[in-house]
Amino acid sequence: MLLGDVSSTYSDIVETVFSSTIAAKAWLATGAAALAIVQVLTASRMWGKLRRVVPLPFATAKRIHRWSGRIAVLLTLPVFFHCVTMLGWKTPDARVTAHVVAGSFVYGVLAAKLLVIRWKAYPHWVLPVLGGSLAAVLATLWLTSALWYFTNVRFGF
Amino acid sequence: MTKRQVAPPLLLVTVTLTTFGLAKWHPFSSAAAPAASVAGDPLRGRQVFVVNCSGCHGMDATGGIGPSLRGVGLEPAEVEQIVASGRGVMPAGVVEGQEAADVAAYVAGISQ
Repeated sequence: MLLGDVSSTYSDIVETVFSSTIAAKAWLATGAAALAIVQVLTASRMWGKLRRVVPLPFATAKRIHRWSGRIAVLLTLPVFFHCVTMLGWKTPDARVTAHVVAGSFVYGVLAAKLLVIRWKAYPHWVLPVLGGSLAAVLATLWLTSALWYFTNVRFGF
Repeated sequence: MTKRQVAPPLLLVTVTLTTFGLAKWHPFSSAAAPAASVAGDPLRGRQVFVVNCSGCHGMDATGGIGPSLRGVGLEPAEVEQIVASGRGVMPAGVVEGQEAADVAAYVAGISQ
């Protein structure tokens, strides 16, 4: 059952900034991926690692970690909406298959991570494993979409 | 196992399956909607093609990563459908709306 065709409305909105819908998604995903790197670095600092690479006080690293995470999630929402509700599940080749499988997991891993943070009743290794998994899923999504677009279609806004 | 031990994996599976289900349904699919019959301008379509499509199909649509589009006998509606839905490794929705109509008119012209 089709609820409606919102593609032209979606395009009108994102094309106020970008040249096309797919370019918008590629850049939003790139922003989220860049913030995912910030997430990994600040999380490492909060866990006592990479002190020389990320010479920040714990509280600052924590604040940056939280806000970069929030912004990253916001950046993924328009991409999620277009990919999931308008393009849907497709498996024409290995790249797209890897993309849709990873995309199915991204918010599931995020939700589990947020729950583990809130409850604080899990073994020491659970949170970094979930955070690392989330970063790996985001990296897979970026490599199989935005990087492919920039290297095979065009690099530009 | 306690409720707290079960909750994160359960939430992970639930949200993942919900996302998968939503993707299978894709309720706002533009490809499933009736195609809008917008007249395309092949001259503007050429510009759209160069910017968005030539990376794969070649500057003169003679092929590259993607196939040559010359002499393959595509109609504008077919091109619009392929642009909207994607085909093979070609992603769906590279261009949309008037740009899709324009590029369809251009590609249909050179594919005859």
